[in-house]
Amino acid sequence: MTSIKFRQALMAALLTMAPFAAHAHGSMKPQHGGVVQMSGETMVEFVPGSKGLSFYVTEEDEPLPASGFDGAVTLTLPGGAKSSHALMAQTANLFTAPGLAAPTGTKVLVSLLDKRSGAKTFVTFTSP
Amino acid sequence: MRFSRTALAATAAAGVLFAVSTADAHAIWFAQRANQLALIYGLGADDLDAVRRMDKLTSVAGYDDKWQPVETKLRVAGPLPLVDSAEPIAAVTAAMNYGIWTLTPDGEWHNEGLDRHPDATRSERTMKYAVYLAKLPTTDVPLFADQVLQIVPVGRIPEEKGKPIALRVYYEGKPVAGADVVADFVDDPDQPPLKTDAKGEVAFPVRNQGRNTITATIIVPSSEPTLYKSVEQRASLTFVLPHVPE
Repeated sequence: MTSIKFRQALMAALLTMAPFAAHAHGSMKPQHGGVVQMSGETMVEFVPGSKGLSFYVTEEDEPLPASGFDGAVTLTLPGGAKSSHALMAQTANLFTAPGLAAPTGTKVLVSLLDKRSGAKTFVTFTSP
Repeated sequence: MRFSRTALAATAAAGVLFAVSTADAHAIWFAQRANQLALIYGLGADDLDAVRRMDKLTSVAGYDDKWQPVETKLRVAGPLPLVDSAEPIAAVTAAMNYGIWTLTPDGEWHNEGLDRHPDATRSERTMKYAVYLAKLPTTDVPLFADQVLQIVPVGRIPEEKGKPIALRVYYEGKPVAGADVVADFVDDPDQPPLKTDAKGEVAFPVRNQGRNTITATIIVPSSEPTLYKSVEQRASLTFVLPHVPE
């Protein structure tokens, strides 16, 4: 019982520190009007637009060059239809998928393959 | 996948299980390394050369959160075999046939059978299995096709350490009594093992608010007694309890 109380107290103490600890992995605030998800340390902002889909990749608030990754997006529509598409690396940390649309409720799975290390990162969104 | 869990009568210990006395105490399990998932071969904190042993793997498989197969393989990244899946996975499994080992009177172990060492004092084949749950499951964990021996949670896994977890150990799809269960194989490998009961079940407080690697071990008779006398089957189940939000 003592250890449980101690743990609860510890968790409460840690939770009060959470706003400070969050800075260790960067802000979760969208910077481009989209929605943000994190996988490990990698943050991806998904911005659906009228001309296609955009994705911005950061790590600890630092933009990661899109040219360093092979990106892909898999869309699963609410009805179940599924399609995969390569992402186009643009300047800085921007990936785009021109001409694609993600209706509300679409599952948007972003796959990023680090060209240097081979590490793969998945980030999943539900389209707003 | 084998989903059958209806045979709740545990495999009788008599005639099936020998007393567990492990010569090869190593196991395989999965662990996060640099935000990727690695296959580990080792014992306790000894994280040995798994790449060198990849040729002994007989299967690697991934599953999504509906337990449907996801294309999954291992890729070598420096000294580590890393899980490489086409989509996010909820679980990954592996199986390894570590081969036949004999112990001769001079105290030496040989990766050969009794046909080469008829004077051996011990002889066995060792089989290793691993299941990693990438997130705490919200539905029952199935029996996976490549897991001849498997540890399965009974009910939900608690989210806090110290709370009880119930597990059932299956061998060839049936609950097995008398299996040795180590609650924390990585950080406390020498703890006295618990034994599964007549229903193949065991319960204990979850050890870690982080990675938990639990092992179960049984010894079964040889199907090739001219080569080895017994088979050591060892399974691991690894899951992670979440830490407080950063």
